[in-house]
Amino acid sequence: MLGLVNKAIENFTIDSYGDQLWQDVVQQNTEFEPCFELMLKYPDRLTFDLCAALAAALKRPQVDVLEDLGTYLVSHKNGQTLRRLLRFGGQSYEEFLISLDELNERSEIALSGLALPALRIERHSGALYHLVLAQGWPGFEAVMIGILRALADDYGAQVWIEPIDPLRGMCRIEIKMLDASFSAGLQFTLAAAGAAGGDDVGL
Amino acid sequence: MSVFDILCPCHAQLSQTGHILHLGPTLAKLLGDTPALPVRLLELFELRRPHPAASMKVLFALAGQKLTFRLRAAPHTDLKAVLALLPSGQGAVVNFSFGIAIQNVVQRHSLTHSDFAGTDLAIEMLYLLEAKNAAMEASRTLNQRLQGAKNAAEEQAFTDTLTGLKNRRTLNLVLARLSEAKVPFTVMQLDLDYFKAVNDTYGHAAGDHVLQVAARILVEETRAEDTVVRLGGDEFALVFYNVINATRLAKLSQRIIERLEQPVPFQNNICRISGSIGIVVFDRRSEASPEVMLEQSDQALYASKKAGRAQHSFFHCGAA
Repeated sequence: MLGLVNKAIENFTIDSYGDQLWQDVVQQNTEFEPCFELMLKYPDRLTFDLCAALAAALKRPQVDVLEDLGTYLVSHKNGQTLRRLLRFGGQSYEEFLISLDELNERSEIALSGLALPALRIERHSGALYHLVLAQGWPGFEAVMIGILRALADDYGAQVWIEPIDPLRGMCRIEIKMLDASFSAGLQFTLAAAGAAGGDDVGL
Repeated sequence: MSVFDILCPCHAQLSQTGHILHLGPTLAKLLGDTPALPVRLLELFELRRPHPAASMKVLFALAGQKLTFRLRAAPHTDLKAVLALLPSGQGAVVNFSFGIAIQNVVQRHSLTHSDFAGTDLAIEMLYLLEAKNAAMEASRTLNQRLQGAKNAAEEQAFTDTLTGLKNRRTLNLVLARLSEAKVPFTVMQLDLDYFKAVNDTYGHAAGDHVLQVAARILVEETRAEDTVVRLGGDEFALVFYNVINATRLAKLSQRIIERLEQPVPFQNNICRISGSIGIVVFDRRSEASPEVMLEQSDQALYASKKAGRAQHSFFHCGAA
């Protein structure tokens, strides 16, 4: 697993719950690093253990914590890079959903070695989509639900998003479009002021 | 919406006389205040590559080639273009794009997804640029951190931990650098006299304290561009950059020895030491290696000790 993922968990914990809680989580396992390196590779198991340790420290179900992580990744001020990269997917939320079909290629081109679990979008009607995910990273679907919900707010779309029972070894997330232009959403320009860098990598 | 507006929204349709008959929506956005049509293309855009053209005849002759235009009005955006002639003298179509400066153009003209054709790779290009910048930023901060750690490790490797002075490794580097640079300089070797007695009588803590006091004196008596080294034990070396005047060096040596001889109180005891110094001067013509330089200063130091300590001697060829 690329250190970026562990770093995201680290940043999420510190920004949401403070430095002390992060110290408590790190204490639980000698393999946990107080400061993960974005570009180094760590064993996958370490990341899954880290999520479990965080949920235990917060005394909350892991899926809830991971969904909050997904929300944090696109809506926190430190996560602007990921939010922007995802919004390049389309001008509307539906365009964005369809662009998720390219997410594996897009993430690989942005950061080779990230190796997201395979995912694809199924369009069942103009208002009903399924995001289908391979089960490579346990809990990844919860993170994606957080991301999808936060981006719906970002686009100003009103949606209903729930996980549905896994089928043939694939996780499924159901997305129902209720109102594509429910609110104004947040502004997105193709070339942000200062787009030439400077943002933290908030992935 | 015309076929062209969908396929290439940044185009202009031209009459046979070079007047713009129709502007694609993105090109119209680029021009800001949409000009009253028809207007001559070359009135709005200056052709820069492959060569300037004042007449449409010249421009039409460049059909099919890679062109570069510049907006005549501010912000004078550069645009890539290609011109295609329509059949049987019905004029031409020019299609524009933004090339490598796309991020600036998009920002300057507030372009959005819908300003690009569905097949245009511009959005992917912008996505890539941002992804690249984010990755570069991450690797830059990592490099900075590594650089900081490397500097700290090097500093440690070149520093004597007790006194904070440089160590023998640094001395070799400094001597090699100075002799290569052909700068005149002086090497002084200094041994503390009676140090062993302090150590034996009052203990190692007292000895360490005396070494630290001596180190501070040496630093105070030298300039920032000079190098002060603890070679080990009670042996020190000083390198004076661009100083070879014998009188000045003699006075400096006397002052160092006088200061070293001032009693150093430690706990309930008074420690007394002195110093012997050997000096060797290297002018621009010297071609001695660092090893030879140290050997020569060592010979001069030996002469000082032999003559009764607490004094300095200069190295002279054939003197020892």
